[in-house]
Amino acid sequence: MIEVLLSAVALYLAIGLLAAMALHRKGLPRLDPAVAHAPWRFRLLITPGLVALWPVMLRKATLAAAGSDATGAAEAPVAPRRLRASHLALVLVILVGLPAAFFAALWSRGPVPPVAQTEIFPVTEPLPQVLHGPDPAFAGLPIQLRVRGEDRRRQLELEVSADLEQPSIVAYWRPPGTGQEPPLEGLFLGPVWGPATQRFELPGAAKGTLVLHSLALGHEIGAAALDVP
Amino acid sequence: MSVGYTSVQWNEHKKLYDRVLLAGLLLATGAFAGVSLWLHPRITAETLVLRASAVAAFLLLHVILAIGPLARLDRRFLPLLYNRRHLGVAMFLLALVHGALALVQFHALGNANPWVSLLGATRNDYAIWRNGALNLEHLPFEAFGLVALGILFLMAATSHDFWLRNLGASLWKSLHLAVLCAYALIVVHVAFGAIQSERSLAYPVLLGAGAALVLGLHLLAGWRERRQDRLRLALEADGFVRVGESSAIAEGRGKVVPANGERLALYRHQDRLYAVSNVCRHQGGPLGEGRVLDGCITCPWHGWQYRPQDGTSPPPFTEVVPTYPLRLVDGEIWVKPQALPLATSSDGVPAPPAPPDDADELYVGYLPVPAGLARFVRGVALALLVGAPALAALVAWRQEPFDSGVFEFGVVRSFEGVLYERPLPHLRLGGAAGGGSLLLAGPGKLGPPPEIRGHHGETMQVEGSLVYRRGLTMLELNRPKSLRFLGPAEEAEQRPPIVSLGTVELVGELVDTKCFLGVMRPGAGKVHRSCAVRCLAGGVPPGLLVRDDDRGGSVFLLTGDGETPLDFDVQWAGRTLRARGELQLLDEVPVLRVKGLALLP
Repeated sequence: MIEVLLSAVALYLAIGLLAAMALHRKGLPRLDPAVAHAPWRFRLLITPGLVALWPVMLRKATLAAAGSDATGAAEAPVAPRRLRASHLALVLVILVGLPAAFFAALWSRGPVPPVAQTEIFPVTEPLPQVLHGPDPAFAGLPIQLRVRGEDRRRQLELEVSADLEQPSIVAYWRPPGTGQEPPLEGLFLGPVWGPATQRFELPGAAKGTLVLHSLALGHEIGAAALDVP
Repeated sequence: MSVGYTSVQWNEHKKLYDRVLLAGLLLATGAFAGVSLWLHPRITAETLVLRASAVAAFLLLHVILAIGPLARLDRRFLPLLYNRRHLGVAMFLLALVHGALALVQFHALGNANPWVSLLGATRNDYAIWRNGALNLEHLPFEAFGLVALGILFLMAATSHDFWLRNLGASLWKSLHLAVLCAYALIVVHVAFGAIQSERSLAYPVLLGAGAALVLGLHLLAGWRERRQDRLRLALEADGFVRVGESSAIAEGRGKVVPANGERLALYRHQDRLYAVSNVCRHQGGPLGEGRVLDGCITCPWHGWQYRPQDGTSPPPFTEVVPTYPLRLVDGEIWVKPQALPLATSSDGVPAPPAPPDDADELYVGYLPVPAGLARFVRGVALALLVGAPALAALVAWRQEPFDSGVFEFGVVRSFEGVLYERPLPHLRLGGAAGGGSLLLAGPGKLGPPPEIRGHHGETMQVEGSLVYRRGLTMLELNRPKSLRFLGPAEEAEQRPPIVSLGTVELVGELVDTKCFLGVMRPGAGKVHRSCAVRCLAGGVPPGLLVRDDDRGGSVFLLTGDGETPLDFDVQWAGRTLRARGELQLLDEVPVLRVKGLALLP
């Protein structure tokens, strides 16, 4: 149905384009002699109207070719009373319909979709002791780094307060003595994103370098050296 | 008035008018853009242009619609009426920018004709009555804007004296009366469109206030005019009606009098009285509210002139207005409201002299503006030049915040990883021990290209552009010729198993992940809905947006359950669904293997 309607409109406009060319060539000067000497800018200006209203203008041009004065100048002047009546009727219809539509739109505004269920994703519980931090260890990134501990367990906590606006960020842990880029050397910890808090348990002491690496960009975006026994 | 056509009959007043118009538009759009960029730096260029053009056009439309009734209520507004058509054409051009950009932005580069998409992307929701209930929340709003734009186009295209002359004043005026229909359609377009997504109270208040102002002014002016129409006068036997005292008409001035349904203009010129039609042949202006200049009755709207003796325009012009017989009896004017044959000459009726009346100043476009009127018009122009940007800034300020998300448009990078087609197409980077997944999409509003089918578990090299947000990354495969497959990847067998988090039930909005992750802002909600339909229909991976308190939310990729593909209606885009299934983690990507999916009312 929509396709049929659009095809009909396209056909109407295509015919309109042809009709406009014909009107410019012959029809208009017969209808309105003042057009004959009008500049090209004027003709360009009226062309969209000719395309849109070609049935009306073709009819007038045909009448003019038959010798009638088909311009509006020959018609009676506008009847203001009738026009005012139409104007009033239109305003009254709009006066009733528009507030109805407006308030219907406000009334029908849907609620924001409900809040997410409580934590779907597995949450690593934080170790009780904070041994280091909070530390804004990565310049330019909204991340606070903490090292947590309990007995000999060590845990890195990354509190990311906003979207990192970097693609595919993963965290690696490089023990001391390794100097090469991951993934050749280093322990893969996991993806990092924000806003969220991620926690990664280390196999030993928190002595080494925490590296944030963008897999998509292929380079490191930040590194933080730690020396927490 | 003119004997030949030009594109625009420029004069100093029109040039000044247009300079003020341009200044106003620049100030309004500049204010909108400035406040938007300051408070919402994440707004994209396309969204900024879309909204700025819409706001400027809509503000201008209110000014245009207010001028007519204001000029009827207070003649000091007549100078604003003089060049109103330039306001109309400018407003149409701004609306066209908005409409054309919306068509391209939301409907092009997909798998359907953009016009078909514009009208039919959410066609199911044209049915406002469904299952025994009113369904207005999802009523498509685009069609209202399109029809309004069509009306405005017709009006702009016929805003020239050529059309006035050749269509005839009646048809032309009726066509231009449709501006009220266009206005109503635009209000509905905004009410069912932007206001569904923008939660600030400022929007409905401003929209309602604007409509109240426009309709209120029209009703007030209409009521005043109607009072005059209702006057009925006693007839004398030979058809003359008494219309007033001759002393009430000053030299060189006119008076509008009702005469059994229509209005006539009485004029005093060189102490003789004349009666002509009150309707100017140009646009129906009230001749009786003009003055006599250079021996001619001059219309207060655009300065068209007619000789009082016979109603003809001075040569070389050819317009004629009807004249009417009148007589003077004991200082009282009597007119016969049956017009004489056109161009019938008359010497008028001699009348005793009357005192001059210079209380009102007359504005005519081709003469200097009287000082008092100039002061008033400057005040109005200043108010508009301050008020319009202020309103635009308010609208910009109260926009909903834009979410984060990056689309590296125009930046092409190279990638090598392992392609997986299941559970949904993605490219895995990094090693077997640890890595990340890039979701895959095609260019525009299309899903991954068919060339990747059948290469599950193979190493793939490709170029493309990144889209990413909150830990999810997508790769737009916009260089299909760069695709290379290097055979089965060993690490495909060594990939860490996908983590299952059990069966969950989620409620959220169906989005297309490409726009949501960063290609569009906003990438969700009703204003984006048609684009989401287009993207989902083209194969972009669907997601369920489950919002948090801060309205940011998490996106869960939706796939079928096992071998069963995901079954859903793309027209559900932008609507709330309940989804039940097994939640899995594909590296950092949460994926819901859907067992049941239902549209919520």
